[in-house]
Amino acid sequence: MPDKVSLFATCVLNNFYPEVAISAARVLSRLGVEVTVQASQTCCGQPFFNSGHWSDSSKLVNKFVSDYSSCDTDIVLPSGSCTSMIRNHYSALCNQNDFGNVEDISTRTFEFTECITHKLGIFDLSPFKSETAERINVTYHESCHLNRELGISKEPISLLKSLENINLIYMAQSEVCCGFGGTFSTKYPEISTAMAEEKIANVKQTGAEVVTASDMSCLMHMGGFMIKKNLDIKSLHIAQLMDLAMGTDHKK
Amino acid sequence: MLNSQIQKNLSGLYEGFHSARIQASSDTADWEELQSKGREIKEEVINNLDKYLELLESKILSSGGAVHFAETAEDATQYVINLAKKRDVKTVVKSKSMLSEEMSLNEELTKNGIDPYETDLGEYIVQLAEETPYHIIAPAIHKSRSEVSKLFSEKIGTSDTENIETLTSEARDQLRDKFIQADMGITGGNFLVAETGTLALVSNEGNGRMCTSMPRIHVAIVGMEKIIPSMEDLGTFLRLPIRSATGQWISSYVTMISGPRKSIDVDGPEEFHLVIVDNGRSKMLANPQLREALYCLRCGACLNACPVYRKVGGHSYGWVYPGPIGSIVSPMLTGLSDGKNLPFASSLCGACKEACPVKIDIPRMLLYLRNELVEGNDYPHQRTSKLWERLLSKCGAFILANSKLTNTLMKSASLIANIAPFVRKPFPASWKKTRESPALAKKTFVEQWASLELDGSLRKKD
Repeated sequence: MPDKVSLFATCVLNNFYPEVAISAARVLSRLGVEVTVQASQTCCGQPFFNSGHWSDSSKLVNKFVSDYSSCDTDIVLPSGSCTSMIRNHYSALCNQNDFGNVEDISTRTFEFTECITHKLGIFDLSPFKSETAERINVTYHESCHLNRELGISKEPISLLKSLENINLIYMAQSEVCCGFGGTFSTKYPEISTAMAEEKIANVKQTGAEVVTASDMSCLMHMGGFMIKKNLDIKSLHIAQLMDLAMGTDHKK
Repeated sequence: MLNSQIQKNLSGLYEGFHSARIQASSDTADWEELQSKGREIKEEVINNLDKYLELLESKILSSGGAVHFAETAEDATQYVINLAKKRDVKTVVKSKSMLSEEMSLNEELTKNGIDPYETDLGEYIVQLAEETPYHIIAPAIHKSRSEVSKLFSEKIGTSDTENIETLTSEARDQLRDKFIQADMGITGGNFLVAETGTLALVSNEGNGRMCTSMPRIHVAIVGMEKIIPSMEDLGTFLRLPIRSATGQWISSYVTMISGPRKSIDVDGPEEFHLVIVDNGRSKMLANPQLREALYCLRCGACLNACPVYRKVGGHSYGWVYPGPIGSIVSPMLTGLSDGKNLPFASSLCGACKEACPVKIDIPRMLLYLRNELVEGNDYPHQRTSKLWERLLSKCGAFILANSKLTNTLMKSASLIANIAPFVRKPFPASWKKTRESPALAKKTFVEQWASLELDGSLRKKD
């Protein structure tokens, strides 16, 4: 079990949702892990890669590799999409003499719920549950890259289910994309919104108060759509939800 | 966006075909093995295409058939038309073929005074409506029952009914006459078995078999990538695509043709012509990044899985092939810059790759084509990105590659946002129209981290 991890918040969390990264740090720390943060972190380069600007993406890949090749701790990202970027695409974008470093970094880079389950070996969070936190009705959206590119699907569900004060309600077609897709959401706003609409119809069907996922970008999209529609459903990152349900009064 | 009827039909593809595919593949004990085997076979053939094409040609010739290699769609069309004219063909019956759409074959035949009749029910509907197929295996998926009823009564004078059985039987009566009249049957081909020189056709309506056996001439037009080495391999390919397409265990009809009628045969066509078509496929073959697009079995599973296809429908892709695989194939067959929007019209969710029976990595190829359109490394003349777009990206990457500069700029933006609130929510108008923009944090996570105490449980206590 690693006693120390380095948290890479991702550009979205660092700049728009710092509270989510804080929740992730808090949860990991409650599970007995020392969390460190590299102050030089910015972005993994995925937005540039996905929009076709590979040479620009390479600059950020090289930065990430030079930032993290010297440390030997596991790197945790609260995003399946950015984790997949590193694991599946970095080797095509990095400097040739960095292949070894990229391979090394890929093997110690983990998505947040993947780290908890596969690295820490924790699938059951009930020993860490809060005695006071209120029970909430939650539904889970499977972020595409976490599910299909990293093959992490049952893990987050098992973590959520193990927390008594989370009532997990299955959503129909939870594996269908929410329509975000990075620049796709602004290049093709009508299609992207139509996809969000269908997704949110399925969220509504569950009657849950909260929709959660492992990627903030999906939640930013779904949440942004729900705000415009004046819906009273919150979108919370799985780390925030775990943070809430684990509370501060957990048993040691 | 589409009307609610079409939208409903398209959603039905997910609950219908897509779910059936998942069921059929999980019922197949060795599904993943079968997928890998299928992929390996395609890989072997595509990497040695010339060898297999030669073998196939020699087998077909020795069984008394004719083979024509067509470099372009026009060339293929011309061959068919010349043959039809030479043999005094007036009526043609056709079974479903996407390649014939590449050739605009019906249009060209009609121009030359030859009447083509589509005999697949869906294609028949689409032909009567003077449209193009909406889906690779369900060409009339966008048509409602009442639309078909109206179309039939207008075009073929059927009685006013929405009863599907009645409508189908009306179509059957119409087509039965055409089968009898026809001088030529034109089919596509699902597979070409090189070792035996056999054309394999799968269908659910039996029309394919009638097109190949009733008229005196049978012409098969087939893309050059449809070849497989041996009969043994056919077993793999009779399972993979149909289970992925409709979830059926095996197609209702599997027809195998090796040349024209032999002297001992009691029926069958007098002539058999195989037209093998390139029409841009060799461009994909030449590029290792795109070669696997030629493994496609045209089962349509990626369309059913695709949330974008299910929103925009099959007529939004600008050319013959819709859906995720269409977004690769169409730009490559017609010219990358002509199909420049297609690679970007994807959320990269990966549902297509997951659904593909031969695991074609469509998202990877979409990313590659995006890069080509933006940077033009392999196809410099096809670059369509604007200079300002590339400069903007360069600036962004330059800033983010320097964390001090990034932090200074983010801090400034957050300060400016205090007096100019629109800076707080920086997402573009195209986002904000239907979705609230997220707000820039007053302090970034990295900034906050330095002074974090949180609830005291953050840092590990020894």
